Amino acid sequence: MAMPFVPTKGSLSGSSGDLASEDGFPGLKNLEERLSQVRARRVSSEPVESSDAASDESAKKMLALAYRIGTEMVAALIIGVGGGIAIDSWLGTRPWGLIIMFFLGAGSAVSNIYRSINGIGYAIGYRKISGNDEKRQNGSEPSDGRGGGSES
Amino acid sequence: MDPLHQFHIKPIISLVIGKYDLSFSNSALSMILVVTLIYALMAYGMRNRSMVPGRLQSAAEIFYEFLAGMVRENAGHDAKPFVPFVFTLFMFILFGNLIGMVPWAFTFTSHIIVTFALAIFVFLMVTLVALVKHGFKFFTFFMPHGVPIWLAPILIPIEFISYLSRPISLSVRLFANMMAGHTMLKVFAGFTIMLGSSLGAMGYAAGMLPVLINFALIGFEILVACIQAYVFSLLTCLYIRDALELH
Repeated sequence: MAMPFVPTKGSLSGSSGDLASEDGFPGLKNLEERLSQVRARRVSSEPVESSDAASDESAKKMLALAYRIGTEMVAALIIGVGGGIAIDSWLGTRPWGLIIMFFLGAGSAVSNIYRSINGIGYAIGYRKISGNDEKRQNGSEPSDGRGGGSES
Repeated sequence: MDPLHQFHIKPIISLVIGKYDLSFSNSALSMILVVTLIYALMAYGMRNRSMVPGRLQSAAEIFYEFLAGMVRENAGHDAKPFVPFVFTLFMFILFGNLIGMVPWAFTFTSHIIVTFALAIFVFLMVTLVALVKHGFKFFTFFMPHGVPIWLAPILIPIEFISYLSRPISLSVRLFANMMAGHTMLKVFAGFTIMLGSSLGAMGYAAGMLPVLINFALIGFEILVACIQAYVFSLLTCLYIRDALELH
């Protein structure tokens, strides 16, 4: 008989013997409960994790963030300066296109860095943080970890 | 002895059609090897589909669970159709980075054209998704809400440059990290040979020092290989989320 059972980590522990016993499948009673737990985890954006895994995850996110920041700045400057030179050679407005685009590129470089440090709530075209957004933002912000958002 | 020699593209099967050089190079061979390895891991690992997974099935499941979780956390629930895309991207970059750590192997992610092709594909896909999903509302993306209107002439170009810089930062980050790491390994390995050939026996004794440094660096490079694949796919998730929700 094929059980509709999803073997995710943690959910198998302790009660795997119950499923095998013949007398009325006592494992089936809390199977429903465990299934709903697994489903809740699929739906909620915050996975249920132990604190150890959470700190490991946040260290990984910190490192990932550190790698992002440097190139965010360089990339915006490349676009600014490259675009400025392209505009100059296209319209013949040497040197004004380069000068203006350099400053615009520098501005967007700074705002890129500001955004990557502050998390995705400050993404391009940021409007307002709805309740849903705030929750997700906590998940992505390295300093917060996932301490608060698990009540959902 | 040239530390950049490892990045040379060598044609294995020469094929020139018209003006275009379509040779099958060592880079292409390396990519095919990576795709074969990923396919083998997934197809062979999942062949039994047992309840209690074996080693390979476990590895395949860990990769899947990790990436599905990453997409769910960072891109939201609507992003479920993008799980296969992000999965493919992550596995391709991760295996490409890791296979570069094998001696004599070719690291195709150390070429900016490869990483830029990946990044521009992500960029175009995300832009198209946003355009299809939101239509002209997409262009409000470049004007943050609640900003005084007289700032628009400055802010819109800044936001636009910021948006255009996404594929550049994605591709430059991956390429620069892989290329710098591999060059550094070669430079330190070169020190040992130079010391040995110029100072003789004493040089070989002193040459142990760069070997020790390389020993630490290789561990670090493996970490960088994983982190870079993670960063690339994480940012893809964030961009997908931007495109889907558009705030």
